[in-house]
Amino acid sequence: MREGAKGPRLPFEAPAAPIARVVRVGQVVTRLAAHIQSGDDFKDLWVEGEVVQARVSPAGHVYFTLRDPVGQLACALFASKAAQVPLTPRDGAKVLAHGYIELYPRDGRCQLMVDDLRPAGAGDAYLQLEALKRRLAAEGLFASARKRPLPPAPRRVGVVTSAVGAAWRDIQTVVARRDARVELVFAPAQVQGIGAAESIIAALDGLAQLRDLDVVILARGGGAAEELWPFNDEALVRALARFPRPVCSGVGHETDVTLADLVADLRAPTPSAAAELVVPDAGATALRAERAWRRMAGRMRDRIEERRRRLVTARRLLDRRAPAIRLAVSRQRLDEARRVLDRLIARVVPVRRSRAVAAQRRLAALSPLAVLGRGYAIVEGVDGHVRPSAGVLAAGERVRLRMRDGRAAARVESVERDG
Amino acid sequence: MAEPEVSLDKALERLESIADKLEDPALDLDEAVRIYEEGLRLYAECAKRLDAADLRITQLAEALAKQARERGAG
Repeated sequence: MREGAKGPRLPFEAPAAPIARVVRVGQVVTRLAAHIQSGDDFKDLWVEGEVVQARVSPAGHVYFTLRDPVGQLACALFASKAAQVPLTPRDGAKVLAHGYIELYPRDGRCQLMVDDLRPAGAGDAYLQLEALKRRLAAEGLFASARKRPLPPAPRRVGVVTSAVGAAWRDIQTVVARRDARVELVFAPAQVQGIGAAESIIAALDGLAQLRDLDVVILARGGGAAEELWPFNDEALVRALARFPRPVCSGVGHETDVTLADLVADLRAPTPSAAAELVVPDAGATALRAERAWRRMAGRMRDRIEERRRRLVTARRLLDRRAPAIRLAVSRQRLDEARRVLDRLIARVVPVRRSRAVAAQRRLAALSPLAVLGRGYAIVEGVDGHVRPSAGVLAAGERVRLRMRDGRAAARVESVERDG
Repeated sequence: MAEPEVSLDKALERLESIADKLEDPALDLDEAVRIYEEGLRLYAECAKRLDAADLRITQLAEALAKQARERGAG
């Protein structure tokens, strides 16, 4: 046998390569499983393929295989998730499965742990939707700063929804119960299928013409995710954004939020919830208003009472300090002064009187009449004036003589002056 | 009648200050009579306006109650 000859080598003939390290199967698969789990490469995956070998376990778990021309992948959809997924995997269906890869050490196989499932056709549309959402968000259409507050007490409420679904009936019921005065303006629209977005936009345009509309509800009853596509229409989103009044969306669906929900000023989970958010309960409002009024009236009365107390106090002080009292005091002082004066006067007059008497006495003593007692007489003219000298007498003049004890009439016979 | 120029509170304060002033024994009698007269006038004015405010609130409350009754009936 030649050295270097090519030929199959039997294992025992192999040169004994040094075995550096031996690992057990369990170690390999465990390490592999950990490696798969630790990175992001095998998480949050959307995997597209054809369903084969789908079967449901007695516990309700769904096992199937996804296949494409290159390979295949085992998938598990557990019962808890299966209940939330609208699509049931059937053999031959092209689907888009969402989930993460897990390796089961026990059988060393990788499996896609599925938590969502969509028809494969939706794949592109879904990605387009995500792109559109990002673009509109970048434009600021979904920004909370754009959101307008709903009117506190709307009078006219526009409703855009299907004429045939339960949504319109639900909204009418809720609004009638909460505030019968609210007027609903119904703008029927096709809310699913081809042309739905255009139909909704037309309904919105119609409502936009109304001047005294306060707010609009855009509603749709529950539906599968693919039936909600009109609510992700870019033209509809823009129509909602430029609508002159606040818009509340009430599109009945659990999982996904449509772009119409994102652009709406307020999002409600159902048509009924939208009606409740838009129309306040009139009874509760009236009750609150009345309570507020009572509180206000009570405070007003308190204010008035406080001032009334002050007023009464001021009046009492005013009366107590009234000028009438001052007046009385003044009058008393006046009376007092008068009495003093009177007293003084009373004392003054008698003094004068006695002085007068004394003076009269003295006068009487000095009176020329006193001389008459001694036999003298005083000559007076008929005019009553004393004739003190012969020179003033005329012959033939009638005179009177005043004596001590009486008077006598006489006539001047002749006048002889001495010297 | 022309609307009073001063507020009720101002009038009340003036009345109180008049009461304080009247307490001053050095106050001239003529001045005392003058401000006393003003005080009485202010008192009447304040009392009238407080009564009016009170009445207004009562009327409003009755109007509200009547409205509520009519709403309840209708």
